[in-house]
Amino acid sequence: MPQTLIPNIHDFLSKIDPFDKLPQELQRKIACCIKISYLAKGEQVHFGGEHELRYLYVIRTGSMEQRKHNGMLRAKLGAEDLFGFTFLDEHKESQEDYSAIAIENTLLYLVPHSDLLNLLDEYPDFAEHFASNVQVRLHSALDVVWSDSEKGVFVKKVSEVSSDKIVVVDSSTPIRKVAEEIMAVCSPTAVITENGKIIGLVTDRDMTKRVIVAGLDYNRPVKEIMTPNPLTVGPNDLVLKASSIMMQNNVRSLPVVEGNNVLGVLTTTHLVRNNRIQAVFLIEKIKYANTVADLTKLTPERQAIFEALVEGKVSGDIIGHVMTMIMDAYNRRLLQMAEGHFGKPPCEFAWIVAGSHARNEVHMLSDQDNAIILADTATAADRIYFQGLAMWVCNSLDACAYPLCSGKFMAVNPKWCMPLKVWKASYSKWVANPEYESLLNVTVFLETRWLYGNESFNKELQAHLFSSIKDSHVFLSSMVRDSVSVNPPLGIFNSLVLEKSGENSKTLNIKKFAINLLVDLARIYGLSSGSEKAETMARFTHAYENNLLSEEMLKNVQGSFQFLTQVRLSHQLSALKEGKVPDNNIIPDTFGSFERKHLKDAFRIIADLQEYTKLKFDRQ
Amino acid sequence: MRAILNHFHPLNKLKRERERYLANHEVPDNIKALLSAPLPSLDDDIFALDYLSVDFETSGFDPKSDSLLSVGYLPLIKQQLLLSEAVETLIQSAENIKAETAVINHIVPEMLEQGKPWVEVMDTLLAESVGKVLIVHGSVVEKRFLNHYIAINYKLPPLPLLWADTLQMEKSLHMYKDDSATDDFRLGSIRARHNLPEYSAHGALVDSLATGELFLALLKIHFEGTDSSVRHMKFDYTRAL
Repeated sequence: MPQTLIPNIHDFLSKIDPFDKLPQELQRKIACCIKISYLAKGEQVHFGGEHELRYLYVIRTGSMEQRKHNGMLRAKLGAEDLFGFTFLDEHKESQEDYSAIAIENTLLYLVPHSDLLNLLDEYPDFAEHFASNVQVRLHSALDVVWSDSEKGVFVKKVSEVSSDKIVVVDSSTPIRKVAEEIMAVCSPTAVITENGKIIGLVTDRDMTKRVIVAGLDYNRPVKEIMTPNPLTVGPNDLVLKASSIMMQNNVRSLPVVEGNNVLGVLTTTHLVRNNRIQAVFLIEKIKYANTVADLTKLTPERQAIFEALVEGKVSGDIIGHVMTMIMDAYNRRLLQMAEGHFGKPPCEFAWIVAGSHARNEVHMLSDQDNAIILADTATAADRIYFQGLAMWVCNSLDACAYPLCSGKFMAVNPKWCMPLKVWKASYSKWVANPEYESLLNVTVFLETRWLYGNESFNKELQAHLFSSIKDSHVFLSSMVRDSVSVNPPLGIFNSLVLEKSGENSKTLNIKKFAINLLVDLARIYGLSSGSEKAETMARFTHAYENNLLSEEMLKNVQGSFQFLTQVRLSHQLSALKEGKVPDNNIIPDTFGSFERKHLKDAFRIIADLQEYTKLKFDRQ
Repeated sequence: MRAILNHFHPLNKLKRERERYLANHEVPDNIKALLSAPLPSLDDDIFALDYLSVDFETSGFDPKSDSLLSVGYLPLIKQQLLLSEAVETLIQSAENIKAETAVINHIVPEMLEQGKPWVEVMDTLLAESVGKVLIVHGSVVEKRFLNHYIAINYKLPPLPLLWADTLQMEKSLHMYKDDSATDDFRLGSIRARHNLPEYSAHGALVDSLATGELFLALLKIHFEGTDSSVRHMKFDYTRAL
């Protein structure tokens, strides 16, 4: 076979996804086996049922439409778009899922299935890019964008940043000997063992505080000054987890332990080496801020952290967690300050957060959703105290660039500052009469997270919600009806977003038409499977563990949610960089062929899940 | 009546010319194979024929004073252009390359030294052409240089081959239309009118590919919604130019 290079074909292929991810040599080989065909307007692609007649199609010029057998539009495709992945599956029956019709005169490049498979055998590393399965394709898309080397310290494993310099001594060792070893090894920490088991920890600080200042005899066994039952981390834990343990417990070092084996130590110094851990320092600063004015000055720092995380290609769920931890810190600090202003609370209460804040999915656009659960004993006078406190906290959060909630889902609203029994009665009412109560208005409270005060109030309320849902026949199905009333777009066509109704719009509201649809579906699955975690992905995972979703579906949804989140966060980042107020409206012109293709996959996955959910919950 | 019309159809005239040519000339086996391969019959579907899209790069229009620099072609089978069988060969002959042509074609004498002998390249092309309609854009150059080769190497007159010329096909589209805007018949301009991509590079193979794609588009336009049998196709039957 003459391997004659046709530069035009090769150039074209090398610029479009997924061919652009392949080595030149492979691109060239694929280009050489292309067949070119031309469809007049209205002409249909004849998908060969025969294995050797199957192709991956690349639109060179023109445009096409895919329709399902019932005539429903599946997608509209333009130049540089690909189709025919589903036919790459060898096990797939020859029966096709859809037909493809040219809506303009169209020049098509056909990559024969058999040639492609042979080439991918030679280059197995790149096979994923051509997977017949959308989920695998989305997964490989994420890998390309978030290569390991680019990931921030948060997503690294503890073992990658910790030091292996640590002192391990028996509990009977004299204090002085331990101090000498600490100095010799340059470790800030010694792990104390007894019969090979870890029983305690001593830091250089403990030496100063508990020995020198206390005037203790250096020859006493170290057991007497150690901190028993020390906090530890595993070598495979994420640095994010370790740093949040350190922050929550106010410790500066954590032994890295596997079983009873001490492997090393992780200290704040290790984290500082990478500036992305500045989130930890921001949280420290928030903790020690004394006035609202001090807090408001930290907003640019928060934005800088957000930008660093998005630029560092840290995955969306971790960004959500970090931004949530920061928002939690602001909110807690403001509540402490408020108690300083208004005096001690007159009764027990819990400050809870709702919506994306409760789901640990905070980003740069997040507004505040919060509420107060009062003890049932609260008096009218008590409520006036909390009204004042909530007013102050909500306005201060607003001053710290956490805007007031447009739906007024805030503790400052008397409706959302109620005794526990009233909350429970409200939940019962919502669950019993979902139609009447207009569910959409309260979905934000279908996930709540305790932040401050008496944690048991929130636990009790959640337990009540779950048991009410279990007893209700109408609640979930009416939630499903609400959530599938909005559909994802069919795809991006030229510079327009093609909506299912057949209309086009100039921008894609990625929140309304994609992310929220998944968040809503996740809520349904989370509530019906009784998931305690409220994170969107955690809810889907819980549903999968309880056999409400197939593994295939879970992975599909996971891939698309991550991809959509990443697109949204990158969009926010570029707006911030241009000094604009970030929004959720994305102009399709900014998409490359990569985004277009993967967005289309993601939209399709959402649409499939909506269909599946509709059937599943209607039957019940 | 039909039989008489069929008899005078240029395709059947070409068939008789081929028979006469073979009868009147002593031809080598490869030419015999080429000319005795069956021609399409009038009721065949035009879309079902086998084609070969061809382009020559030369240093000028006159084969006596100019040289053939490279030959590119690829088959068009079942309405698909097959890149896997695309061929582009430089002709081994360093003579006569004009500086300005070298600039246009990006072919310099050193490159031609790496090429293959004229005879080998042309005979391979003839072998590839068996049973196929030759597609060209503006047939002058290809016909002149092919005829020249047949004359020099085989001492034979021009071969009665079946050609399709995309330039003529495009012109016939505009024949009855009064639009002065379409007096630009360069390959690139015509392609742009038919919404085909712009191919910036220049070379025998790229041009033969560009011609092949244009041919596909033109066939669809000519035969849209009408009888696509061979009798309605206007092939190019001219031999000498």
